[in-house]
Amino acid sequence: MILESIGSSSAIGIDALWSNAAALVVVIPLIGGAVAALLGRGRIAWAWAVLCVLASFILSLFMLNLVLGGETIGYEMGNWEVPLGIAYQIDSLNALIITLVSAMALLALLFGLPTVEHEIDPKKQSMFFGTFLVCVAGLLGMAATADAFNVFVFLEISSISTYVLVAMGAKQNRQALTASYNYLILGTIGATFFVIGVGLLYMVTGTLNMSDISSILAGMGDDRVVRAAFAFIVIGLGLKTAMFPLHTWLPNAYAFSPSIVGMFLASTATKVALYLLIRFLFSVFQTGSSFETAMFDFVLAPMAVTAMIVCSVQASFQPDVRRLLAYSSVAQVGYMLLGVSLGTAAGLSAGLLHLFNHALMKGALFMAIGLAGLGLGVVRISEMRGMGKTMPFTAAGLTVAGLSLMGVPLTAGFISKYYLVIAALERGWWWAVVAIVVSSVLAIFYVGKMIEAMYLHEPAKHADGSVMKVKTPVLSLIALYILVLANVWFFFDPSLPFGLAETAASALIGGEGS
Amino acid sequence: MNWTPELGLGLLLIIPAIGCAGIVLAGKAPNFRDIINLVMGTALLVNVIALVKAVGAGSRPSLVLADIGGGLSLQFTLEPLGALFAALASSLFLLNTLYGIGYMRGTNAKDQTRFFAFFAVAIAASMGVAASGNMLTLFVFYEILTLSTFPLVTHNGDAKAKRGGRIYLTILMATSIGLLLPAVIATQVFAGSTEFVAGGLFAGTLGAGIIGTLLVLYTFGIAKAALIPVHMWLPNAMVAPTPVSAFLHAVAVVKAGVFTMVKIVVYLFGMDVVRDSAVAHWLAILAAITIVIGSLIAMTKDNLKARLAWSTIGQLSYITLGAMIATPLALLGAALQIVMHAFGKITLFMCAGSIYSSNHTTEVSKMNGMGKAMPMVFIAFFIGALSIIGLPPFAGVWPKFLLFMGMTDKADQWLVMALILSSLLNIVYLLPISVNAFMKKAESQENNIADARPPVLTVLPPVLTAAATLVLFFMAVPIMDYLRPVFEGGS
Amino acid sequence: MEMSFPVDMNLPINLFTILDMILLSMLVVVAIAIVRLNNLFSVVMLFGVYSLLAATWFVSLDAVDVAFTEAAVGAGISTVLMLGAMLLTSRRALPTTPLRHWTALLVVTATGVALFYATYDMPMFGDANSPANSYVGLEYMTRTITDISVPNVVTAVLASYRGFDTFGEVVVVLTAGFGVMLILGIDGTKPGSENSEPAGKKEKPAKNSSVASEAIKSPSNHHVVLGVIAKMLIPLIVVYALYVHFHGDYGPGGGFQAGVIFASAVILYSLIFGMAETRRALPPALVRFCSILGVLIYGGLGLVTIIMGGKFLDYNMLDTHDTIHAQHVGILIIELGVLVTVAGVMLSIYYGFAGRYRDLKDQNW
Repeated sequence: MILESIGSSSAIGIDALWSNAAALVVVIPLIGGAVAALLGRGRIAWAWAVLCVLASFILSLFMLNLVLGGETIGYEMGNWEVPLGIAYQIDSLNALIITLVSAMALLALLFGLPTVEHEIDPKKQSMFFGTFLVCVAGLLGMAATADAFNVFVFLEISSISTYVLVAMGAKQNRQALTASYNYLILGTIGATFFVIGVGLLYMVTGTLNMSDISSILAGMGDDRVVRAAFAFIVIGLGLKTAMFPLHTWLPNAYAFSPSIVGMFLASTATKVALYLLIRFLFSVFQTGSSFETAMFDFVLAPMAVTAMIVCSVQASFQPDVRRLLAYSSVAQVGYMLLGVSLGTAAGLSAGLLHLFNHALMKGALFMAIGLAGLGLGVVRISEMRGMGKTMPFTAAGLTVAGLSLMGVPLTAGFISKYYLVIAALERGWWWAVVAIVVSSVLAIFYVGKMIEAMYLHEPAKHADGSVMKVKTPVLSLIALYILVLANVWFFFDPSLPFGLAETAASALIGGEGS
Repeated sequence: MNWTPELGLGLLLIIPAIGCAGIVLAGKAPNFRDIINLVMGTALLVNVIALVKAVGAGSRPSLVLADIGGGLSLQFTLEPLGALFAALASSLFLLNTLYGIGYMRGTNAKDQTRFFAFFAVAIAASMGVAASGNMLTLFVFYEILTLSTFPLVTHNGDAKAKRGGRIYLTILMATSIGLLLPAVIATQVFAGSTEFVAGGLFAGTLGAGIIGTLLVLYTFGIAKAALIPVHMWLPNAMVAPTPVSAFLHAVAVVKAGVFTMVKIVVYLFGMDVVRDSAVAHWLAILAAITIVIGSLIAMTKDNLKARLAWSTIGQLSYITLGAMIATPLALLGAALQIVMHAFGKITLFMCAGSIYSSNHTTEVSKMNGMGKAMPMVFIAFFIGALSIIGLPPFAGVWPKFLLFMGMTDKADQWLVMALILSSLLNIVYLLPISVNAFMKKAESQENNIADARPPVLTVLPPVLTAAATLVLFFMAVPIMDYLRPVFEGGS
Repeated sequence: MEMSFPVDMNLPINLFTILDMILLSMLVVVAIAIVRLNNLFSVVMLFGVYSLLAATWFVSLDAVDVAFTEAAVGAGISTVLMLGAMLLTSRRALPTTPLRHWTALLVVTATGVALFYATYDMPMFGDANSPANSYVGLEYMTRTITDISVPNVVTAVLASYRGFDTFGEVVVVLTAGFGVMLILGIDGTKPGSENSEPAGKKEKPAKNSSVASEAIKSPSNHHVVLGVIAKMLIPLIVVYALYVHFHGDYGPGGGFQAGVIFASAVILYSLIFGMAETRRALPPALVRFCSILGVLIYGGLGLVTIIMGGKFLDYNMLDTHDTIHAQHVGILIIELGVLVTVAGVMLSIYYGFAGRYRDLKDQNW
């Protein structure tokens, strides 16, 4: 009798796991983060964090599979029906983002243990991992939710944890504190703008559920409140996306944060914000309205193109490797925004694909730089000299990821740039194509600088003239190579991200006609 | 498993891959390593010969390497032009391997395993370029070729090598990603594919402006063809060990460039389209200027390899010129020049390397009187020079002849003047070297050491290639017949 | 000559409108004063004033719960924390560059213009037919009685309908606590500073150490009156916190406010009797544990409802026969979680600052 009930309850347990996947994918790392801070030792907290993120990753794969089958997963928190309660909704657009974030978090943790042990005070490690988990959960929550205000709550969770995580670079470099502070100020302004926008939307629609807002807005004419809300939300999320010229917080935040944080943020944080921007632009506000089209053509697109070129130039002049990569990130965000601002399904799917691919390449690059920092204390490009000899595997991984950043065929970076060019030509935006080309050439320069330092310069030598060999932690190297191979794999088979991006884009843009 | 042409296409990559792995694994045992290297070269050559025969019999084997979706794919399709290039590269690769082994051992070069491993990657990339069925595939292998030859160029590892290597990589990568890649993507956008199709993709579909722009992007994007002003990488790459210069800069790299040039004119643009393009006319003039300037600068160089490098710049532009004239005869001449110049130039480079490996002389002015110490080398050099100049009965005469014939079709016959001038200059800067080696007395005693004989392995290959230029003179007609299907569509 | 009066005569210009205007203009004045001042002490105090004014204004807007929170958090605990932060840095702000002034002014102006622009199409304040009052808002009003049956609709929305948001906010609070602990030191002590010594060893202060600084750190005759008053006040404050907590279903209040009030009781204790005493009464480890425990209570309840076959935070699962009862139980538990985390985090932050105090003399105030 008792055994039976246990058996049936454990069956319910597994069922409950799958049927609540949408909530658990966020809640597990959220609660897990709190638990991690209680675990006294860094390594135990790390193992716990890996477990939590792994659970999230598995759940996200489960949902991805359902979404690929054509389903849309809805989940009502507290079982309160929409619009009374808060709902999660997983469709082709955010299933990819959720999977990306959880996968990146997992890889970051696999990569990061040795760097954390090196960079973070041992007493603080467990709480550091706890904060990291909270940050992961925040990003996942932003991606999963279908409620405009809930977005704000999780935006805050991810932002505040990010400020903390960035500031933890202070043990290596005190500048991390000012970087974090600047990020905090600008991030808070962004969040405030966002919540003002959501408040204005609530004022005119009386609801917070995104699709509900959208359907009410569809029945309304042009409205100044909606316009103001649009501006506030775009600027608020733009700040988080590092949309030019609102990107000033990003380079220092990425450069001075601990390696694991820089790597994780570079591959996820701006991506999730950009996803939200897309969500609001296309599925909350009315696409095709003259106001939005004008915003796209005269604000978003020029900003995107400027970012692609100006920030690539800035990247070319950075002696600090991570600042170089950070500026390049802003430029790459420009590519994604360009795709979005095209306002066509092709452009949007190209932008989404680039979002995905950029996460892969920047993740790999930051990992490689993190390992270089761990092994050789690399901060500046000049210190990367001879890495091809001292850290051959790391250097090779960095090179492949760098080629992907340039957009060379055989790497994923080519595919997304290709689709972006096609989409831009479809709209006849020649100048955008020229900008893509110019920015790619600049990428050759700044990536080339790293490759040159690694392979063309002699490494530092021991007193006896022998080349210093640096041991690289195996687990970190495995994580790096998973990303590096992904960069190659998604050239040969981009169908997964591209299929999802296309479905999502046509769903978002197609909604305009109905 | 029976050999089929499709399998043969796969083997073009598989054989060097296995060879490369073998070379790396056998790195500790140099003799065994070099045997693997030679076996690989032979196997590749046998495979290519079989493919050449199959293509000659009318077969057009095709192999999809990867289907990426969105109209993109990596694909091999072999046609006569590619088959010829593959045959050229693989046969000279085998000879050059032989030579390289001798040279590297003779000069006690370091890191020989790495050297030969990258060589294997480079030959695989050349095979890929030769067999590419569309422009995207060709671009990929073009880039792999650049990257895999970069460690070869900088092999010496000193500051000079690194400086040269940096220029090499920067120019080739910047032009290919900045110009060639956009051109490839634009081709994909306008034509819906980048596949090489007889008669071209663009015929009758695009305006003259776009055609002209694309042509410019391609011509300067293919920096390996060394048209002025994207030629500077070539003299700088001469810091490489001589086998590299010989093979890569007489055969694989530069020829991959001009091969691509011919390929895009024939199979992407279509000969008629290029012939009617005003832009092509200007590019032809630029090619003619390059021919003359290349030869003029070559005259001023005392360093033998630098002289050969500038000579190569001039000679390559014969092919670009032929491609831009775009009459069937001119293109046939261009295609022949790829082959004939390769044999002539590799002979010269190998001789230069032999001289260097025996007594470390690099300056032309110090070679007087050396003919007695190494007669075979200087005779081979003499024959190679005659072939480059274009005198019968050596192979180099055919392409020039065909180019003359091809150009008379068109109004810009005065470009012929450039060719004639260039040939005269060739005589001036190439012939005296071996003549003086035999006739003049050495200025200083030490350069005339009789026992400084070059290793056999560095003498035999140039002698063979020199002999080949003689044989190829008589083989030209079968080769032209072989290529005929390529150009019949256009005229 | 008749003057046309531009105001719509139906507009209810009553006492509240006038009060609102007075309050708003005071807010503006205080805000400008805050911007203009360099003395950080005054700035902090004015922040408190600003919060109190805002709270008063919220009351007049009938947003009593918000007002309460603003008063407790904005005017209460954050003033204390900001003072703590100020003590660790400087009493005066460094002059800022003109460029920054102008940038800030530009941003603020642009924001203001955008908001003004929007007001033209905004619904009238208090309009019963405005979307915010007629759609979901109205539904909350009508359904709370049948669904949850608590008199305070705000509590129903915060704790149940949108309980997930509140969970998120609790995590935000915890994260902020993590931040302070990670940056300022995990135990609220700075390694190597005098305060890191165990409390017992503090009994023999060096002769030249100022008496006033000891007053902050340990009991002293100096503040005997304060000590007596505080001892009387603290139990009352704690009881009041509990009242606010448990009365949240019926009136303004709830876990957030209660947690803050509870924390302020402890802070008062530490101000009078010193950090060492406070640490002995409430060890930092305990405080840290509490701040995490609250989130675990809240999230744990969500997991329990999932295990019981419902959705995350579906309180009805707790008692399927009497869902009203289940809702009450659920709200009570999560409010407890909020209370514990908020109190714990506030104290952690306070410990973090207090652990870094330099010597402080009375005349410095």
